[in-house]
Amino acid sequence: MLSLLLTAATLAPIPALGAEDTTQTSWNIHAERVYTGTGEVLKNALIAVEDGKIASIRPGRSAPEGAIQAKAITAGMIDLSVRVHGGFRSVEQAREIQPHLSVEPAIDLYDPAWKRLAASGITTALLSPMDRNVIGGHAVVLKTAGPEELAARKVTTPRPILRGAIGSEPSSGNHPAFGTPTDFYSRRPTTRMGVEWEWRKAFFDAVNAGGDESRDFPGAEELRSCLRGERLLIIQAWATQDIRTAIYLKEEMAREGFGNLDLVIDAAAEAWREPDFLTRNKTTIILPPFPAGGRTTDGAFLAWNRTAELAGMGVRMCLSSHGASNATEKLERQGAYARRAGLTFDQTLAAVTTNPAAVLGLSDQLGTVEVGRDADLVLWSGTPFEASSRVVGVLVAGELARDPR
Amino acid sequence: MLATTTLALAALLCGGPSAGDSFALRATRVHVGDGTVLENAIVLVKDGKIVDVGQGVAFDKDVPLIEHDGDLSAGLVALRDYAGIGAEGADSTRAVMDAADLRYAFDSDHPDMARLAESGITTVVLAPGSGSNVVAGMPVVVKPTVRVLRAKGSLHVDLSASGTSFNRYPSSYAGVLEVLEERFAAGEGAFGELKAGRMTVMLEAESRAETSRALDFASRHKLRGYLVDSQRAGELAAKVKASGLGVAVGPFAIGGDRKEVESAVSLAKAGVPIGFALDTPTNAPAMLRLSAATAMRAGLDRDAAFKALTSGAAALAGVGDKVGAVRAGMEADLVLWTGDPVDPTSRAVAVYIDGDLVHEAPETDEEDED
Repeated sequence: MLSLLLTAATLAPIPALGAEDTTQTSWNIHAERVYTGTGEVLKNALIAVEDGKIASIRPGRSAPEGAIQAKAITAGMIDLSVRVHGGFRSVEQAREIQPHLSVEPAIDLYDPAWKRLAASGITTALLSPMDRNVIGGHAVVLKTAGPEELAARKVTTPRPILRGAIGSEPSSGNHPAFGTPTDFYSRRPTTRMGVEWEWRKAFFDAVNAGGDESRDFPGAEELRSCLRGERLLIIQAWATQDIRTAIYLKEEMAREGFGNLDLVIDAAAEAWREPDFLTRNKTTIILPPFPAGGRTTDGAFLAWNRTAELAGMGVRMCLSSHGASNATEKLERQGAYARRAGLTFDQTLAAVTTNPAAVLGLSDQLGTVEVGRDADLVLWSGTPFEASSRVVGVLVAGELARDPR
Repeated sequence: MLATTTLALAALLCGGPSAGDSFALRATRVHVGDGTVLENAIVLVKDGKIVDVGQGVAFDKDVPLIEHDGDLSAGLVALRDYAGIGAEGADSTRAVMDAADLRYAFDSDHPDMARLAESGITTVVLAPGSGSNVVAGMPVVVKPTVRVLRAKGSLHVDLSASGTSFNRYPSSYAGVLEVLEERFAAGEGAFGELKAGRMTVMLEAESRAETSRALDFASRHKLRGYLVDSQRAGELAAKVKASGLGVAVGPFAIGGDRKEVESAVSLAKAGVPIGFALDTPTNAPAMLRLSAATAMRAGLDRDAAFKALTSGAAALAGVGDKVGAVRAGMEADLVLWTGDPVDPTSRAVAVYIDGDLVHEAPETDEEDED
C-alpha cells in the first residue's frame, strides 16, 4: 500500500549530520478540510510532507496509521509586521536616513517570542528595524522556527525590502538644539513636516548624487535602486495624512522622472478614509491589529466595518499583529476579527497567506497548500477564523513547531 | 613541616638569596601543569626563571633548599580583572578607543594587587571597563605588585549591547558592525595588527545571539583570542570550537545562574580552551578558585579546571610561553599551597613572582582559623 509506505516512520530521513540535525521534516498529515489558498477546498485530504516541502496532496483518503490529524489545514500565516528585535538597538539613530543598514545584526533567534509566534500559526515573518528613523534600513524575512542560525532561517526574497516611517514616531525623541547640541537627538526632524522633508531630501540627494562620488552618501545607491523598482519600499503610516504623504512621495518621484517606488504601507489604520489614494496607485496595505474602540497609534482610527469596503474595491491587504504580544491581537485572532469586519473567508485567508507572500515576491514558495511549496502549515481545531476555532498544530518548513497530538 | 617551610622562608627573607641568585624548592607534590604531578620533586630557580624540575634535580650545596610539605604549582592566571583601575579603565567620549593602552591604568602598588598575589594569582589581564565603547582599548597582562608582562597584545572589541550608546553613534547593533567593518577595512593601528594576526581580541558578547554574531565576525576577520561575558556560550559550543576562540568563563557567584556554570563545562567538554575571569575588586580574589570548584561540581574534571586556572588561561592571554606551568625555561611564578590548588580549602602559604617571594602566609593563620 502506497499510503502505508508514506507513513511518517518510513519517511523519516536517516540522520546523517549528527544528533542536532535529526529534526523530523517528513510527515503524513490528514485533515477533513484543506483550504489550499487557490480557491479550492479539499475534503479528507492526505498531505505528505517530505524534507520540508509538500510532496503530495491526495483528497478523498482516510487517515493512515501514524498520520497527524486535524479538522482543517491552511497554509502557514505570514506576518509582515513582526517586531522581535533588539528594540532601540535595531535601528541606528545617529542619522535619520540609513538605507544601507539592516535589522539583521539585531535579530535574536533565541528570543522566546519566536516560539510563541510559531505556535500561533505564523510561519514566516518580515522583521523590520524599529520605526524611530525616517528610513531605518532593510527588513529581513525569516521562518519562525528552525535552528538558531540566520543562514538557516532567512528566506531570500527576489528584491531586498527597505523600511521607513512617516508620522510622529520617527521624530519622537528628537528635540531642537538650543545653543550647543548635547547629543544626536538635537536634530531634525521634530515634526511630521520634518519627517516628510527628510524623505524627499533623501531621494532628491540620492538622484542628484548619482554618478558623482563626491556627493554620494551611505545609502544613496540603495535609494536609487528603490527608484528603479529593484527594492520594495515599506513605509509605516497610520493616519490619513501620513498615508497621503507616502502616496504623494511616490507620485512626486514618478512625476519628476526619478523613478517608480514599489510602495507598501504598513499600519495603514486609516486607509479606509481615502481609498482612492490606494486604488489609483495599486498600493498594498498592511493593517495593524483591529483595536477595541477603533483608536490606534498616531491618533488614527481603524473603522472595522470599512475594511470590507476596501477589500471590495480591490485594495490588496494583509493583516498583521504589528508586534503585539497579547493573545487577543495575535494574527490568528485578526483573521476572526476580519471576518467579523465583513471580509469573506477567501479574502481573510488571502490577507494572511497569499497576499503577504505576493508582497514578498515569494508566491511560488509560500502562501498556498500546493505540491512543491514549503511545508508551512497551520492545523486548526475547526473552520479557520471562526471565533471558536483555534490553531492546534503548526509546521514550519516541515518542522513540527506545535504538535497537535 | 609547614613550620619548617616558613622558617626556611624567613631565612630567605633575612639576607638569603634574592632574585638573581638560585634557590630550590622541594614540595610533596609538584603540579607541572600538563596533567602530571611529581611526588617529592625539586624546582630549581635561577635569575627568576625555572631552570630544572624533577625528582632527582642536582644543585650546588650552597643553593638554599626550601622544603614544603604540601603542593606546588605555577601561579594562577585571571583572564579579566579590574584590580586597581578604579574609574580609569574606560573613556567613553569616543566609540572606538583602539589606542587606549591599559598599561597606563596599571598601579603595581595598589592594595588590590597585593590581595591578588596573596591568593596565588600571579598573572592577570587588566581589561577596560564597559563604558559604551565599541573598542575600549588594549588590555594589559600584568604580574600583580610587580610588572607588566605583555602590553599591546590584544584589543578589546565589544559586540554586546554595552558597546552601543543611547545618544551617540553607534546606537545600534548595525552601527557597531558598521564602525568595526570600516576600521577593519582601513586597517590602521591595532586593526592592522589584528588583521595581520599580530594581536588577539578580547571579544565581548553577552546573549547567545550576540555570541553567535561575534563568532561570525571573528571568523570573517580570522580573529584569535577569547570571548568574555558570554554566559551561555556553551550552548553554541560547536560553533565556538569551530571559531578557534577561547572563552573566559565566570566568575561564578554563589547562588548564580546554573546555566552559566553548565555552559563553561560544555565548552571544556567540546575542547574549547577556557580560563576564568575574576573581576576584582567587585569580587574577592578567592573567587577565582571558587569558580573553578563550582565548575568542577557541575562536571568539569579536575585537570581541566587546573589547566583553566593556569596554562590554559596563560595561553589565551598570549603568555603561555612564559607563565602558567612549572617547566624549565618558564618564569618562576610559583605558589606553595597547603593542598591541591583546585581545592578551595587549600591556602597559598608562599607566592613567588619572577623568583621573588611576594607573599608569605603568617605563621599564625591556622591558629586564627581555629
